Amino acid sequence: MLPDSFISKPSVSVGYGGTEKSISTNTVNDKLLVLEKKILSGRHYAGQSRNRLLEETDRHIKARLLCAIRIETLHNMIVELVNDEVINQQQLQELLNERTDFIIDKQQAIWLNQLTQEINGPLYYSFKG
Amino acid sequence: MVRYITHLKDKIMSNIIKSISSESNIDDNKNSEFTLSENIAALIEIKNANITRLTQETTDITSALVNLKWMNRQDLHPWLVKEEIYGAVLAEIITRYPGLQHNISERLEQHYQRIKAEEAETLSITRSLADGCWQGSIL
Repeated sequence: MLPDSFISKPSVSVGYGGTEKSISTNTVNDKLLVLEKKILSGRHYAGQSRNRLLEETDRHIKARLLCAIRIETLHNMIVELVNDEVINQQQLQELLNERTDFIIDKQQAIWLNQLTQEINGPLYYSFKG
Repeated sequence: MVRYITHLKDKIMSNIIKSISSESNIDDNKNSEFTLSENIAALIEIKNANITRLTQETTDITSALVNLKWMNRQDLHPWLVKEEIYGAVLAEIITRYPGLQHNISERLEQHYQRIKAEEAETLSITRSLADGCWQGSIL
């Protein structure tokens, strides 16, 4: 239901902490897979003709969850940087206002990409070197 | 408004559950299991309602699909905008402190894995998204 890692780049691998870590990642993935079978409707019509409305509903549930999890991940990271005093609260607010204005200006492009699905993933940020 | 109140109630409830559960790990596991089974039940109910609704659709399936896609994109749009803002903020912090890039990438990944594991334990985010009451953390 969710991709293996936040940064979609194989070299920033999930298993860098050794096998133990990738085993726990697999356990989480297995759990999610079991849950997915319960709550998504995709397999409801196994053997019957596909229902594109149900497929779209499932796709949306996944996309929405991924977006929410990404928001929470970014939020946690930024809060941690404030706690570590890498950036103070006032600087953060300034940066937040500035980036909000910037992204609000780009809203049309974000919407357009939702329609065209041309770029898969975020348009205005990237953490690749 | 009703949604908001329900959300507040949920939030208070989940805070109570959290504060109770912090007392011991055993309680924590039990609560997770309880939350998970409740959330699974609610999400299955939503799924079945969707199946009933979407398979009884007598109109042209193409136009129903177009409508559904349109609604879903509108539903997702504000969250995508929020994600882009937070992402852009973090990217800017990294630009200012390039030395932290590697460290931030690693910690970002750890947060992601933790939140994903929590979701696999409880499905809480999936549930509140389906109920339309997910608010997300605010900076």
